[in-house]
Amino acid sequence: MARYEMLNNVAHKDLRVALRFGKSFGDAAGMLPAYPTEYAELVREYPIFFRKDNESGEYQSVVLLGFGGDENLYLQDDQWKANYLPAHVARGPFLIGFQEQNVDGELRRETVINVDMDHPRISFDEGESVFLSQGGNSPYLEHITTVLRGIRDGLDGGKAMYEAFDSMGLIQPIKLDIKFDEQHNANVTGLLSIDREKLAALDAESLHSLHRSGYLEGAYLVLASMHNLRRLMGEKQRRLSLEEVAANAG
Amino acid sequence: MTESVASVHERSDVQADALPLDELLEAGQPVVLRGLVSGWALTQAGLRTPADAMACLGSFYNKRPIQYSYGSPDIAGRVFYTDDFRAINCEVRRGSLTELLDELTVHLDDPHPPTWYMASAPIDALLPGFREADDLDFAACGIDAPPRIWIGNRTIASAHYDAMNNIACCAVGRRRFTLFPPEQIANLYPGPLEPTPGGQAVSMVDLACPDFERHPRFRDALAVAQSTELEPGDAIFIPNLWWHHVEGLEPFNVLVNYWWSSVPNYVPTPMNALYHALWTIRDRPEREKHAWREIFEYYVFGPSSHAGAHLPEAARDVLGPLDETRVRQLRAMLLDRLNR
Repeated sequence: MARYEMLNNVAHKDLRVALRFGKSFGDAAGMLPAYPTEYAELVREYPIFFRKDNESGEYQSVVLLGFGGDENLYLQDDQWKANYLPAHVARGPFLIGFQEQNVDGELRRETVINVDMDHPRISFDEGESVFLSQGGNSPYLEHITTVLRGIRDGLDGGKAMYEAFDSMGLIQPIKLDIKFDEQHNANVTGLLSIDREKLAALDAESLHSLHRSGYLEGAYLVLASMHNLRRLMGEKQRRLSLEEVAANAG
Repeated sequence: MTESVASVHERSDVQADALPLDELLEAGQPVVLRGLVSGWALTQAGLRTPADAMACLGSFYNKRPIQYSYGSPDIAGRVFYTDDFRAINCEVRRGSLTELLDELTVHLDDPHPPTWYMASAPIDALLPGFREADDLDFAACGIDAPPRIWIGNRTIASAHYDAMNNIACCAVGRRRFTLFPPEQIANLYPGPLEPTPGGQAVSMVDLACPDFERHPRFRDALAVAQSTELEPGDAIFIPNLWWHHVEGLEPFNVLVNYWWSSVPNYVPTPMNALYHALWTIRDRPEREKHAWREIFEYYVFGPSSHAGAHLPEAARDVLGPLDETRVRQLRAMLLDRLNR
């Protein structure tokens, strides 16, 4: 269950957030929501795909972390082995809330920061302080604010980008059928990606409109991120061989 | 009560396209500007019937949601506090201007109507096109003063001051203004800084029925008060920081007002400095407070060039003239120092 509260420096003055990783923090997940605003970071280390929500019909971006339900190959003991931590994890227990506020007589939807007080990373004795000793914003909170802003902008801007890709027929299902060694293979379904051939065959007008809206870069970043599958496979093979060594020794 | 109160100075020579703003600011006194907006289409419509005025407003309304106050009939129009002073005695409602005008219409002949009040709504955001016919020409003076509109019935806004200079135009209905000079603050018994009925602290004195036992100094404020009644088409100049108590006198009143600052945009409201001073100065020993009063007198309240005058120009920094660049540095420095 989640217990959301609007973050403030009085009620949450001693709040800390554990920055370790592990199953107990919910980090054992094979896939994570991702946001177009972080593609440029993700592309160095994670394979980016799309998923389609069957009910709403809406697309979202995801990064693949492993090849089975809760397999996260970036997770090693209590560490996350990557230089960039995806925004969905980096945001910790925080999320964006909206509040209708009267600003100078005009009704506006203002963003506020909410905190889930039941989140496993919530702590009062370990981890990063959210507020400074006298109530100012800690550097960690400033960072969270940036992360949340990226998520919000990614959600807002992403919708139009997926629609543009979809309307040009660029989003195609992709099947991952991977053989790690003689005994082990994986089959990941439900993922979508950019169709490289259709992208290459776009007419000048479509290409120009993608370019003008900045979505063309997004399409190429998604394509370029595919090379990270090799890294993921390599890590999987490394873990399999370690298991084998352990089994033989036993 | 108002019988013994002096009248606000009046003039009837001011035109909407030739505002003598410098002259008004120089004098620094409230002035009634009779007939300033008598030519407005809205004013003319209201002189026919309230329904005509409502139709005029409706013709510009872009259907955006609005926020307005609703008060039960027992508050008798006084937008104020609940008995424990922890909340406002009105409920904030959301809806459309059309709904608000409909409610006002239903209660036009009601002797004890509920209070309906949309305060300070930006005209450009709600009634695009309104200003094409009905506007004061602040632009001619090089001033950006986007007008706001106030629509309600017999509402009472308790005495308060605003940080900006104000020309308030009574377009529809009638309004009574009772004004007090800024130095009357202590005699007006200001209420909480938060929450407030309209964004500014208001006097705790009930002007309709002052309780001189609880608020004895209010007699001194009354002795120097000025008041006036605006008819449709009249306006009033209220210098900033003058306290004003404003009563809507008809079942349907519309006011359009223009606020403008006498300093550049990058100079924020001194209310921030006041909060900061409450925090950092108020509770110090008397001797220290006295010394700080002298220090502020030297740096802030004396002539602007005073504290820098004896220093070489290059060494004056914030003691010299402040411009947009220098206040950016000040802002960064304060943000950094406050984030502890």
